[in-house]
Amino acid sequence: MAVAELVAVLGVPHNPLLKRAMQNGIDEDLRATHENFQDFRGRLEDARPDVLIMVGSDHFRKFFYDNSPAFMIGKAPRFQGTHPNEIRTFGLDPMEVPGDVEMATALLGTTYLNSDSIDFGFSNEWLIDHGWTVPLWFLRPEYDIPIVPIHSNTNMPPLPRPARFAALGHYLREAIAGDASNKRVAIISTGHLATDIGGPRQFLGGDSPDPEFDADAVSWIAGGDLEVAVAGCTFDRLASAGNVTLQFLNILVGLAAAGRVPDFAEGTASRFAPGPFFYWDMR
Amino acid sequence: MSRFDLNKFMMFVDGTTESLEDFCSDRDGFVRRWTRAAAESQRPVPNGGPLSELEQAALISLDVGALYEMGSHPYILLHFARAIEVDVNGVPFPEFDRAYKAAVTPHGYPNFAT
Repeated sequence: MAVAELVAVLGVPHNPLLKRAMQNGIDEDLRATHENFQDFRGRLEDARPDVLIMVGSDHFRKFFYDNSPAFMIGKAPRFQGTHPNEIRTFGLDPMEVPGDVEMATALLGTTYLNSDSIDFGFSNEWLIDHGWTVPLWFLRPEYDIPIVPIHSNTNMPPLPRPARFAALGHYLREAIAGDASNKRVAIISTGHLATDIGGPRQFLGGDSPDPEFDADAVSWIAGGDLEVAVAGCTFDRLASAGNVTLQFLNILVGLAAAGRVPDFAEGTASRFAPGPFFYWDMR
Repeated sequence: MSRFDLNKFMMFVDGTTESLEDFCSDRDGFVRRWTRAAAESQRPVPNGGPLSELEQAALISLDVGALYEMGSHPYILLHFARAIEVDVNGVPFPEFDRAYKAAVTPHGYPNFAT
């Protein structure tokens, strides 16, 4: 029986300010970020995925305090981005990308949920925000590979515990291995290292609000040790590193799905807070 | 006082150019209509909600420090304030950022759970 194959796992930033800062040339303080995205784009193209499972966090646009799921799978035939305030504020362009309903349904189930470990919600119509459109703009600007977006709540406490993000990664790996679609699958997880948005330590001119956290977080992933990473992600540790650092939890999904030391691991300095770049070649 | 209602108000204003311009053209009137919509409805409405006198005053005067201290989500507050000051009032972002940080820094990191 043919089965799907996990061909690549990525961990990347989704800073929406990068696009406007980089669209008319690459300044020196953004060169490393640009080069990493270009490198990952090439690696992803070489991996020839048929579908991109993208694990990120909506920023109050689709899922707000009136309706906040822990984990949500998008199973629409196409996804448009992004919201009007993100177009105005960040200079992002409207975009559209196909969705992979078949893969989304395989992950989700049709009667009871297929997963014993993750109680997914689902969405048949979802205007995705920069958490998905920015990584796609850098990694696959052709917008031609169908996606399955997965939202995790990392912004509105109470959040799923770190072990649940690890469980999500394990589930994705197992579900892909057991899927009969014969598809080549890449998982893109996206989040932050230490980052403060709307707090006293925002926009420090390239400095991190918590360099010690960045060093720890990169070493957890680079070491491939999921248990250490999960144990390190206490709420207080992440929250004290900056008020949106909790989005680092999404990177745990990538580490759990890959299950080993990455082929590339870096907290990349730029004019903004350092960004996470991790790549696992799973072929 | 409700962090949910504060966040809801700020997201609504920042959500579209129309709502942002409506608020900026008549902040008092906008807040009055918002609270009246909540009072007159038997059900929650997307463009209305209860706000305390303090919250109304802080929103109308764009008192970033007060809104931050009340436990607004920092991400939502930043983009609400930025939309008004940078997008509508034309304040250069570096100047806005300095003033924003000066307003929130004395308050540290308030709890923003709803």
